Amino acid sequence: MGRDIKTTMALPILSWSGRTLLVCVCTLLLACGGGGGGSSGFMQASSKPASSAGSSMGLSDASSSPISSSIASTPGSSIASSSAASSSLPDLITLSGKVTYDFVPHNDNQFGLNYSATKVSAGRGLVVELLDSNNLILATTNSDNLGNYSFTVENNKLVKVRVKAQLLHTQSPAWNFKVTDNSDGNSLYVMDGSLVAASNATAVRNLHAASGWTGTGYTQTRVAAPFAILDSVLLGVEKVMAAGNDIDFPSLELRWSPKNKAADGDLELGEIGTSFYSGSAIYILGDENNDTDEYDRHVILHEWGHYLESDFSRSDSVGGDHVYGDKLDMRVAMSEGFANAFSAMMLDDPNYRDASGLQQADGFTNNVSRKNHTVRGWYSEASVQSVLYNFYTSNNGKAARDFTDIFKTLNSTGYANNTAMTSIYVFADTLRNLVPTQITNFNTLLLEQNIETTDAFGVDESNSGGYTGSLPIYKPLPLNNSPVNVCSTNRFGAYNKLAVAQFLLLEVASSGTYQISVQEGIDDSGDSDPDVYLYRRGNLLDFAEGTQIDQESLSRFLSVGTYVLEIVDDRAMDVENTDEITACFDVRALRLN
Amino acid sequence: MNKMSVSYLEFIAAIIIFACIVILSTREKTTDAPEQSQPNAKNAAISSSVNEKNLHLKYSEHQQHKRTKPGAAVSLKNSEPLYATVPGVYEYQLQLLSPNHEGKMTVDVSTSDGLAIVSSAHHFEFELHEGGEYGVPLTINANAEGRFYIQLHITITADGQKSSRVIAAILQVGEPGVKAQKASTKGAGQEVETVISLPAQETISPR
Repeated sequence: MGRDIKTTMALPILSWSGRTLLVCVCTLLLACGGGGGGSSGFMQASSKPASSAGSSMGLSDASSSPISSSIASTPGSSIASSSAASSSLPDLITLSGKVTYDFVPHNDNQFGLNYSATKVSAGRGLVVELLDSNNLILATTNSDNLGNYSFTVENNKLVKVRVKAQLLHTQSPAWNFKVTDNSDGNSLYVMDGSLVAASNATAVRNLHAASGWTGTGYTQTRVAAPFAILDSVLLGVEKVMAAGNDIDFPSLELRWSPKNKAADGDLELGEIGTSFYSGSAIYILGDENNDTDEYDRHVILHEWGHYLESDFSRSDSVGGDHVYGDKLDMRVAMSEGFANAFSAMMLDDPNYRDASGLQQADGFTNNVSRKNHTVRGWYSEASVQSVLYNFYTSNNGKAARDFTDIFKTLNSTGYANNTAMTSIYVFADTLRNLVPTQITNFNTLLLEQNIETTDAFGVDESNSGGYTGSLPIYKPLPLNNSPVNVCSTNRFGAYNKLAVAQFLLLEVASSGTYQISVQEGIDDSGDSDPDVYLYRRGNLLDFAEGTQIDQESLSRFLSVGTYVLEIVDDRAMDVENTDEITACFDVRALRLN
Repeated sequence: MNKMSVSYLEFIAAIIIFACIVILSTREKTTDAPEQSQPNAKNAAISSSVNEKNLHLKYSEHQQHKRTKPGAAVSLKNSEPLYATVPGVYEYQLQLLSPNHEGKMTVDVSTSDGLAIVSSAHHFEFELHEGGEYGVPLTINANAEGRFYIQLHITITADGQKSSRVIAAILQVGEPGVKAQKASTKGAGQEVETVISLPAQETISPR
């Protein structure tokens, strides 16, 4: 007869002491998982080291901020709870105050900054920390919309308040914007109060960031600059949120220093050239008596607009210098026109102003809403800004000063995934599809700027910008080796100006390896150097930048779809070349296999 | 009783401990990195698109130029630093380029501390023309070794519109200084945030 075999789990038997240990561990783990402050500012027993220059310990960017007005999510037990296990609760008091900064406005009726009209503005949405005498962070919070902050702290504890040049919002949609010094290792600017024992007598601590201006110059530390920059950014964030954004803002550093000057060289020496968006950070001028931008809100928001366009939408712009009146590459015209219009929309002020010069008393201004331009068209930054800004302010079948439709258009897949290169045509076509009720209104604005109301490719555009070779905007390139002639010219300026780049459209109906060849035609412009760039939906798939004279070629497997080919003569790209170049090329495409 | 058996309660306790450890580990990661944007379809799509583009951009400088603020259409023909081996008086001809074919350009020159303009002219005016190259002759006295700047405040008035730009030419006198290397403060597995402490104007009062 068989014997029943009972199987049990082959796990080790725990002794009585082991079981006791098990229960204690469970209890400890459950205790550690709970707790945390319910409102802003409970002091932490397991304090974190504060970041400081040259400190051997410091917070990571991440660990410095599980920030919100409630710090319930901050790990670590409060002193109140740990003390409860031993003796009486600590005597706690509320320490609070207001964060402010000097904002210097522009003059109303002349160029430059008006220091006599400096006003005290609230430091909103800033990370505020409470530090002990060892610079350990005891608590963290954010200043509110009036600049107010509040902590609960142990009575008589030596503490100081630190305001970081950082806007942080951890709840979705999240954002994290910092002002750092590119001439000092991208260190974060912070404003520190004094180390004073907390008591009812010292319970209110207001911290003010002064401009540093003392009448004829910046003879004192320019504490306000980072906070002025951030407040401009916050204006943009608020408007984008009001327009319906629900996407996290990618983290961004804005790099400013009094050393940032208009010399092109080493960024670590402040030789930033001008204020610009690099694709990963914004650099801002701060060179007193030459060019400072911390109080030029339109400049700050122009660059932030490039960030928004790049990270929430799409920009195919090749960047470069630009000014009112330029005839630009359509990608640049769209990007720069949008950034100008964006700055005006965020501030509800069409007068773009940039102060510079001795005592920041000079500069220039540009009315973004202006419609009458000598240079008007799809290649004009001035036209694009006019169309976008005037659409924004229009109350024709829509709410005036509402950014929603524009943001919705830029943020749409129809714009971001468009086959055409970004331009006012793509924007217009996408907006018309998304907001059909605004077709007439928007088309009227386009026509006022001599921009054809056509599709994303500008088909049938008749405004050539004074050069017939710029039309049609996209030349169809057959795939049977038949040549299409295009001309790259610097007659309107080098690099990013109209007609330096020529665009062709490839419609690939069957996958295969295709060869694209470029050869200068019969009109010899000298030793040309054609370069070829192949895009799909704005993504650069391949390029050929060989040094062969008068010719270039590119072979690549292409799947079914629509591609854009860009052809330039490298000589026309060179901003130091003062010779006028017009180089015409025969472009061919052929399937190899 | 089988020596290898374990009580049901002890087994449940072991599961609870394991779950606590996993939960705490997950929470710490979330706490430590709250700044990372929570991915969503749109961000992922755009991020993927940008990453693909960036992979290619590293091979080409096309599209690498900065997105700059508006300003007068003028640039230095050669933005490379000027060099002087020792302090002294030097003559330079700065060449400006402008694509504008008409209008008026004014240039006011100043220098950073350590340089002085010896030549009499600090202000220049040009009628803009095709070809677009304009010379600014200067005699500069550099009284020490170091890195200095010649600042050009430029205004262009064209088509009824004024625009301006400041351009600075770099003058390196003597060998460039070696950049001070900051001591690494990176701890194991930690990123370090360094700060620049600015003084607050603080008012402290009782509640």
